[in-house]
Amino acid sequence: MDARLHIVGTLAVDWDAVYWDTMPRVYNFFRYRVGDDQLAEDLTANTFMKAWRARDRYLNDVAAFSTWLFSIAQNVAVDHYRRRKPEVSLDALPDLSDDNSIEEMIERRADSARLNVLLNRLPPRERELIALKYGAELTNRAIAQVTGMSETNVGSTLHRTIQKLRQQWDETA
Amino acid sequence: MNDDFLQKHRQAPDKAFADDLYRQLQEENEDMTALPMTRTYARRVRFPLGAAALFALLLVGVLLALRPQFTPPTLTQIDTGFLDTLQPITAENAGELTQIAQLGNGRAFDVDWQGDVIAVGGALGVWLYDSTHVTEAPRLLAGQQTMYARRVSLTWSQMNPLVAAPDGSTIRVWNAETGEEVGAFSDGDDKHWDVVAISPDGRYIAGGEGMLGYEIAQRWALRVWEVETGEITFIRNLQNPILNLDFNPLRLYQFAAQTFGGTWVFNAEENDFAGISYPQSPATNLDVGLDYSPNGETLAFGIENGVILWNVETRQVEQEIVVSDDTTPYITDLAFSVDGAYLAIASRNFGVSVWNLLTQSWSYEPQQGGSFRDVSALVFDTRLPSSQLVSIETGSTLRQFAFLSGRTVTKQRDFTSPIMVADLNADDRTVAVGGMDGYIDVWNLETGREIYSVDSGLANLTDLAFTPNGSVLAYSGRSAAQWNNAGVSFISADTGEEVRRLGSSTDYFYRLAFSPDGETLAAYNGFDDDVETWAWAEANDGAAGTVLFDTPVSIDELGYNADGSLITVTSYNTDLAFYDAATGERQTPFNPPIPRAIDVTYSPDGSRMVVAQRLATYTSYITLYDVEAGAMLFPLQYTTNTDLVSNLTFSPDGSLIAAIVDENRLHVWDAATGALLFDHGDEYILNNQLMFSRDGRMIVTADWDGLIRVWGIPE
Repeated sequence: MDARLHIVGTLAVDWDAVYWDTMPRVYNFFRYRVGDDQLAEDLTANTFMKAWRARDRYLNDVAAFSTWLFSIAQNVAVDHYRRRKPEVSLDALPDLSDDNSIEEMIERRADSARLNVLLNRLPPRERELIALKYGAELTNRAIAQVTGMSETNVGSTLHRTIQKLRQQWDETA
Repeated sequence: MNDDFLQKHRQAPDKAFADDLYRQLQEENEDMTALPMTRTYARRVRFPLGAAALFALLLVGVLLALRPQFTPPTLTQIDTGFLDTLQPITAENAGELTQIAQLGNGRAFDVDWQGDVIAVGGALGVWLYDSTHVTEAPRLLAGQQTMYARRVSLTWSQMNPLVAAPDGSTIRVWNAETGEEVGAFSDGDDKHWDVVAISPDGRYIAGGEGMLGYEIAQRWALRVWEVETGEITFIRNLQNPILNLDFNPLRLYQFAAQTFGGTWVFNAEENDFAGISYPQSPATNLDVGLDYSPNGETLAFGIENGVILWNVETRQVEQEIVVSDDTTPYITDLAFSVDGAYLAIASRNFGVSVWNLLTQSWSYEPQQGGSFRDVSALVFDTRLPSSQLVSIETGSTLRQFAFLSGRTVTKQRDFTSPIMVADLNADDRTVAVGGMDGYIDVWNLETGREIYSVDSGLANLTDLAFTPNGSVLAYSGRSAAQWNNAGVSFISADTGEEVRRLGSSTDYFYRLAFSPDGETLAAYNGFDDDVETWAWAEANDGAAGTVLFDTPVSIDELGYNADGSLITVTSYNTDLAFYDAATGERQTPFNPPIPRAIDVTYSPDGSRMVVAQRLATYTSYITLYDVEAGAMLFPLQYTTNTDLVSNLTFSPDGSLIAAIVDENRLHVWDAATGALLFDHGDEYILNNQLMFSRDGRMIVTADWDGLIRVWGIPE
């Protein structure tokens, strides 16, 4: 049973552009959310498959395509955590472009691992907000639509969370 | 806020992965060009500074030429006779629903006082009172956008009183005496100004973005304009939301900005940081009090447990005033007296208190549960000797009082608290609403006039309901001092006079429902977790209800089916439950049961039932059921990224279903197909109650901004 039915009206768009624009954001959403690059790829693929197969359910009262897509991504993340407990991926190493120096690469890898540890300590709701903000690069208004929180609540929760992370980040430096 | 460590974590996906996924999707379906997109949005354009200034100048010129007149003194928006022009709402025309009327003045947020003028910022705009005749109706300066004047600022410039308030992406300044708009200041339509301050000489106007201005760049705009030229003289984008602004009364170029991250002092003329800041604890995000002392040497700002007095010259803390260490006071506003001897402190939990700065002691001590409730703003009388204050309480009341004794001089309830409960009477003309201040207001929809108002004496109203014949209105709630109240009260729907009170003082009734014949009242007792009933018209005052059944958990909603044979209760924590209305025995008309129902209502003929379920976080469904067959028919078409669905309602002929989704979207569906016919939302307006008229011609919402809105389709 699914309450989300029927297309009310559609407008063709450039799927290529949509894919290449949003896929990196979905991927990064999962990196912040689950802390593992390989897993983030799997969940990204899962999200796009679901989105494509469910495109008929995409209604014209959805505020934006990305909001709809990230609501699917969010459910994919929830499904993932239902199946297994979240784990810290200390060896989740970022890919770096070729022009990075070795030193920068080492520093960035260490930073990423450190951040993953800090993110993993966050309550699920706060981690989700961080993932939507920094991974998916959504505005607070869009996050409010995806999560159902009020925009004010999103803003204040994010603010507190970032401050907390910043403090822990500095302490663990 | 420095969040580079978070941003750096972002990285591009592996190219091989991206290409593989793209190929997989292509294989999934050859037609990859037709991903449905349904709405396009105009891209917001950021105007260059020069263009914005030029625009502001032109706007000022045009507005000065037009010289708008005052909106006539009015307390309601009246459109008598509009109800007769409405068409019946059907599946064919429901998409044309529009807001056709609005009742009430809405809630009040802020207050300022200069000389004879008291300005109140409210949901509709700025209301101006003559301070010597506060009992007279105020005049309204209305904005042009959904104007929530959360802050209002008054000053005198060249013998003219100026008043400023935010109006969405614009800050407006009026002559408070003539009502002329003397300036409209903006910096592109992507800003949302929440706070505003005008310099004491009327030369500068400062605006800041609060929580609504939070965007991806994580910067909150702070701007200062020169009022005369409209030119922006100060530009800063702060790392924290701006909660309050105030200009130094002597150093007129200096102003302070209170943010989540601390209190900062800037130089408006030199577009400069004046080098003074005071970091606050991040936990103090509700403290918004900020005020300069009259000599400009001291800046007072609220922190978590009280107030800091900061000397601008020495950059040292002069005094720390503790309002409470045990209970967070949630300071909302601060005000120095004109002679600088007293500081008044407003807070949600401790009302109003006054600190004597000379003796460093309380002149009027903070009182929890005292006579002042939920004070959001206050200001001293600026005329010497300043002996009075005015405050805004519960969003509805302007109180003028002597600050040393706390004695009330006048108390004007010209506004409406956020509406929590509402019901539409059977005559389709009378609507009753209950606000956060415990008042019940009964309005005539046809005339736009309030018929009467009843002070329930309760801190919170939990429910109210008209009897089916419309003669009596019942309400329940809880008192300010404790969780209990005096049961259920009944008042005459015509006059508001109390006719009966049932239940004991230890009962806390949370939901009320009259049986369809109106003879029985069922009430959920949240204290005992049971549902009790009365043959209310025959019961003696104070009579205890008959416990019909115990509820295993706290329930969300309570209602009768169409013929009154069953009582249905919903609870997120258990299955939708049915009880025999006569015996209280549990019934099982649906197998398997319907889990986690948060709202339910029956069609008028009783054959169908619509249920909202919250199956998991952010996952909700609304489904139509065949009651006789005990079977699901189909889900209603809708999208929500939340699990917030409330106020499910059938139209009187059963052809339509309406509800509030996501707290701020009004939905109407075709009950025959489940198709969504109408979807209206306003991000700034939270809807709380929804009612369908018996004649099927209008939908009424009662909202958190204190306004009652009527929706229909005029002929």
